[in-house]
Amino acid sequence: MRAGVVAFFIVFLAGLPGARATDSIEYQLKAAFLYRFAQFTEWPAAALASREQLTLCVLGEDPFGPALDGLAGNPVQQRRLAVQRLSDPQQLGHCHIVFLGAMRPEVLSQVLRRSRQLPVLTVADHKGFAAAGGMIQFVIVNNRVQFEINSAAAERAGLKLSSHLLKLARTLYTSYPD
Amino acid sequence: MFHFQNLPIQKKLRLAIMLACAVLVGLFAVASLVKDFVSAKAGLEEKYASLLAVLGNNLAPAVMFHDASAARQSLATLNLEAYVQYAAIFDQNGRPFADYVAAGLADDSASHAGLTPTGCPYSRFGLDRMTLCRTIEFEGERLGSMVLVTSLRPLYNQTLSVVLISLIVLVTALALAVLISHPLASALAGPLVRLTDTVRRVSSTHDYATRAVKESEDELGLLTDGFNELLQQLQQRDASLKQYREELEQLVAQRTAELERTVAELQKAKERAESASRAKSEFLSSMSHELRTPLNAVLGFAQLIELDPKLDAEHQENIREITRAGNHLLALISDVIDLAKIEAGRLDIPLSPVPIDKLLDECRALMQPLARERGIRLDFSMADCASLAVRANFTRLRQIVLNLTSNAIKYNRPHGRVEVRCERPAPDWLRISVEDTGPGIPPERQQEMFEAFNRLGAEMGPIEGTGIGLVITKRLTEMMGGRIGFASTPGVGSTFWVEFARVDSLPAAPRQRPEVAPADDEPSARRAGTVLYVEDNAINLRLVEKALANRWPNLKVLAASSGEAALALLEEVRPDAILLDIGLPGLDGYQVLQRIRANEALRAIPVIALSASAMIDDLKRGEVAGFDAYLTKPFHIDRLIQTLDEFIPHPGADSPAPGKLV
Repeated sequence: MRAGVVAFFIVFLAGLPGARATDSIEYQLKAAFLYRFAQFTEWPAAALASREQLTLCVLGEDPFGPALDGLAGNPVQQRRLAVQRLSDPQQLGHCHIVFLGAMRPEVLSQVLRRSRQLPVLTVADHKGFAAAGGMIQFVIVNNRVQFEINSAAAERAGLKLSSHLLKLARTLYTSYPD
Repeated sequence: MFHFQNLPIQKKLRLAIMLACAVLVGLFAVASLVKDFVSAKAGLEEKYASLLAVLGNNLAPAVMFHDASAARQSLATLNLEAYVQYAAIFDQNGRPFADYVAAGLADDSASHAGLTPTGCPYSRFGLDRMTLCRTIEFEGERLGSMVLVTSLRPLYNQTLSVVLISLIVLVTALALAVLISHPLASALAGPLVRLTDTVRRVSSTHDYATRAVKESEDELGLLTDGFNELLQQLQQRDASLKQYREELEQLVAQRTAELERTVAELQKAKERAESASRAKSEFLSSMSHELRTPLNAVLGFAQLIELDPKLDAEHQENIREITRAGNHLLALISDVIDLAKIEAGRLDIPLSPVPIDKLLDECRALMQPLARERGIRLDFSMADCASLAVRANFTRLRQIVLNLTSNAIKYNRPHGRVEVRCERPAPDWLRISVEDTGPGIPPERQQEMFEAFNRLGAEMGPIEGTGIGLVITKRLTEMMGGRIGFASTPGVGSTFWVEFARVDSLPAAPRQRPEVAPADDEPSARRAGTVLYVEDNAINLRLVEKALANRWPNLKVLAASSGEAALALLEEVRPDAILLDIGLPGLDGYQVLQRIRANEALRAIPVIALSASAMIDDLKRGEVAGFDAYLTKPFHIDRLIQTLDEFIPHPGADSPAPGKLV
């Protein structure tokens, strides 16, 4: 089962920018998806103003390894993509996208709470993340990497996700718990 | 077979108009067809290219997020496009990502349709479909490619409709052309047709007074004017021709009349000439007869006198001189008559095989006395021609050889030599040559050898001759199909020769009676019997009576002066032989002979003709008539005796031998 997923990923990742076959196949694909999400997301003008880079942050445990660094410098929204690893949720302010790695649940709810006021696209692997007010959650269906979206959460944060992206979502949530 | 050239001009014009129409419409149709096809093709390509672009934009996220099912869903919207057969999406590396197959083609798949992203973007046209490939991009990033296959049926449908429209236009145009061309062609060709009708009428009726009507001032008008002018000229010429013809007919009638007159005159002149020719011929014949008759008497009596033993030597010599001169005169007359007949073309020479050795034997016998007299040695060599024959006439060939030989003897040196040879110069020819040892003929005179009356310097000489012997010889030779020639070296001698065609078969010719045979044995002196001599000339009668009495005293000679008298006499007596003159008054010799032969009792009696007619025609006629022998006057007494001797029976052993010795 696991071997089949790996083989599938090898086939699809070879063409993605910065991907290397030696990295963890699943996370390479997910890293690439992070970049694609950036391409289909519209930030409020204020969030982009006076920023020369579009910053992708990783909070918590980093499952990507060097795959994420390979994305740095790719063009997106007329800017370059930058990658930062954060240790403190307080640093979220200058991120445009944040991937939430494994962390304690109380830290996670703190981060989610904090990100409600920030124009930051939150992405995570955690089960029930989108339903719980996260914006994009990776899921594995039929050995494929897919994602669920909570568009209401994104709208609350002032982000506009492309209809193309919404169309591709495995599950689309239009509400969030308080 | 259809020939455009032979069509009436009206049809030609109509055909030309319709052809022009058809060509124009056809060209226009082809041009618009090509233009429509090209633009329709471009339109089709553009339409599906933009469809691809739209689709590509919609599909890009699905590709980006590797969502094949989403991509398939997007592709499925293609079912709204009826002519799209296949579509396929390939990723950046050319691997198939998602595809679409139109409903009708369910069991086929896009990969089986041979779709490939290689060379993308491209637009490829096949016979029945178009394959388009376009890249899928997002914000300048190339994500993959998309291939679309559509049927070309809309293109063909459109083309077909253009063809149909063109056909409709063509048919309509042709119909219009037919409608328009009829009055147009009539208007154009009408004057020409009417002019042609006029021409045809004129040529069939020859009525040159007709004029064509001029209808316009164009080329046809000029043609009409020219034709009318031509007709006028023809009319004038016809009139003058008629006049000429009448004059000519008059002239012909006049000339014909003149010609008829001339022909009549010529006919008369011809008849006169022919009667003159006949008269000349008859004159020659009678002249010959009239000359020979007195000569016959002269020679006969000279011979009788010569036989008289009482004559002394001087008288004997005188008589011999008379005989010799007489014989010469005889030869002379014969030659002149022969030449005259040859010149008149009246000499008929029948040809038959002539045995050479027999001919030369006879010539030797005849010439030997002359040669002896002149002291010339005469040799004959005929070993080459033993038992061969030539095609000639015996008598005339003998005359030729005798003439050449006697010339060779006469014009020779004393104690000279003459050699007569027979040779074979060619397998089919025999040559008789006569060589002498005479003075020869000077080269400058050799040309004149065969001219009449030319004796080549012998004119004043001691040798007698008429100078026509060689001319006769040459003519006779040529008339018998032979050749004559000679070679001469002055001071050494001359050789004259004649050649004749050789004949192989030598039929058993009836033995010719030797007219002069060397008398081997003297005819018996003791002959008794009766001979009837029919002769109107008293001198001849007396001569023959004397000669016979002189020879055979016991022979009884009965005389009759006419045929009628002879026949009356024959009622009573049966003579042993009859001597019959041809030229008798009343019944002539032939008629008398006929009566004798018709009488059973007289038929067996031998009849010998005696005639002064020495011409070859007469000799032949005599033979045909059935005479037992034919002697010409003046006859040699020896020859008469010789001939009679054959027909008068020998006195048998029982008969006494009266009479005296000669």
